[in-house]
Amino acid sequence: MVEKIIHALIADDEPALAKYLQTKLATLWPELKIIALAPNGLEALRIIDDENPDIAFLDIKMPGLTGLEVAQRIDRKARLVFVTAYDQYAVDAFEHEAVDYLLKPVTDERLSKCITRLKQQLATNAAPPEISALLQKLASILPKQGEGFLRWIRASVGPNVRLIPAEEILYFQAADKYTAVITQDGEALIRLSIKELTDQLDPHQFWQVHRSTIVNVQQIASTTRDEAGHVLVKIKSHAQTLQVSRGYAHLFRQM
Amino acid sequence: MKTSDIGFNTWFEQANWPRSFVRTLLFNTFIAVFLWVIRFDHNFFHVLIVSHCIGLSIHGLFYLACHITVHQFNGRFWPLTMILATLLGSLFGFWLGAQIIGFDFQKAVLSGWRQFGSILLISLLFSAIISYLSYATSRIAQTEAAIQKERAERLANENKLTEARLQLLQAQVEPHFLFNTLANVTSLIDTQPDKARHMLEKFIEYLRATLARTREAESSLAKEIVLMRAYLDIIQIRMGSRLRYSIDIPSMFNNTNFPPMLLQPLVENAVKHGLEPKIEGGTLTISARNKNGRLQLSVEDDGLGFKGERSGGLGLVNVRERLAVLYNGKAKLTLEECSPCGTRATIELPTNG
Repeated sequence: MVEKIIHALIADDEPALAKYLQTKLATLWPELKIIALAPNGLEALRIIDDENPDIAFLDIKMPGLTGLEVAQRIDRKARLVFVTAYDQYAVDAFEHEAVDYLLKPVTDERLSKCITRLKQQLATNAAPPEISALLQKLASILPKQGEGFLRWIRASVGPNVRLIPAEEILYFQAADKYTAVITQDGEALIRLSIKELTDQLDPHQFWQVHRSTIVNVQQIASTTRDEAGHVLVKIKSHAQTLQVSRGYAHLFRQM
Repeated sequence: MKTSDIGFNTWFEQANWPRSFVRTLLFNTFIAVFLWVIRFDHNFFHVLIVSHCIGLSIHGLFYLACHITVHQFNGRFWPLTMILATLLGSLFGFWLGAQIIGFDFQKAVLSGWRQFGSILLISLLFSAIISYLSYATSRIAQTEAAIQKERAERLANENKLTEARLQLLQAQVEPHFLFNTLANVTSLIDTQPDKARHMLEKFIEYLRATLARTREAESSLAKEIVLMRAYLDIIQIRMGSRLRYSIDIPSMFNNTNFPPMLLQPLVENAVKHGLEPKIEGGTLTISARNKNGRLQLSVEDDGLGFKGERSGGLGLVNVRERLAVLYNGKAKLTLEECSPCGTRATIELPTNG
């Protein structure tokens, strides 16, 4: 009886660590065939799609796509083992039957356990388990990028693009097609409209006080009223006072 | 005056009265012997009895006077009450002694006023010595206790400082960096021992420099660069050919002061957000230049930039705050996007010349 050859992929952006796992696997599971070492998530995804390996050892933190993102996209094509050097929050969550989780540098003992488990699962000949719910849970534990409120404003100052931290902004003022970002150091222009900005800024830090004005609450010095009864906002260490339109005047009413 | 008043009170409360009673008895005997030796014509037992009478009555009155001084006057006028107690004690003791040995007190005072005067003087002198000794020893004990307390407090403070330094070190040596580096060293040991050794050496260099920095408020640009070189060498082994770096610091800045922990967050950000997540990696450049007597230090990368990067930035807020405090608003940090890609962070600060 000829046993089916088992194929595996190792994905890790740190070459030394990928090589090390390959060497360890060669010793502990000589029948396993490593088809490729992928240096990033995109490469890993491509190889899994093209070559259909039985097992994928995926580093969590990789350029291109993270290990979890690769896992979410391959749709039960391979059995998964996640590998990482350090993730203090994730370890417990990964203690799950469906996937295994190895800490780098992996020890012989731990890797042997993982191999035994994989062999058992492969012997049943069933398809890899459904783990999308688990992956979603894991993804929520790991730190994400690109979510939350704007912390930085990318604004052009002459030929340069400046990155202005949100806490340094005094206020935003609509100006034709652009919006002016006013800081202590001066003015910069961005293409986002006041409407688009209100959706992306932290509403606790930035208040819209007028159709064309958003002010940083922390930079407000005081408020006054003019003869017509309009509320005026005075900005800290800045000459400009900003008018508050009637619709937003309730924000400044006395408590 | 106020402190010595309180000092008197604590002395009175802490003084060992039974011991000082025994001391008084010894002194009385000593005085008697002394007087008997210089004036052989006296009966030694008479001298001894009179001496004890005087000494003990001074002692008693002294204690009483102390008690009154502390509780009625809250420690004020203590020199006056002490002298008064001694004088009255001497007179009373002398009278008592005279009664016991059968001397006519009045006659003795009137006929031998010179002798009486000398006894009075000696009593005063010795009681002064006794009280001074008692006072001094208790003050020494109090001072020692104070020193011990201060030492304990200083030790506690030092512990706090060490703790703070360790926390600083912890903040600097990120766990992820630590574990990843060690994982790399382990994985290289068998197959590429030279590379593993090189990495460990760099890591030790990095740890040593970091540890030294947590103990200093001031650092120099040269030292910071050494640290960053070690850091980047380690990252370079980890990332392989994906990371290239260059450092260009003109020699005029060799002795320039530079605060610790300001450069590292910029370099870390460039690696973590710019180059590590970029598939093909890239180049990191640290460069310095002189701009009208000010130091302009830039960390530039051609990585992913701040595209979509909204979290993080905490390290940069700290850098900004520290610059504001250390240079009183005369330093600044600017962040720019580079073309065609990447980020440039620039610190500008006044130099020490």
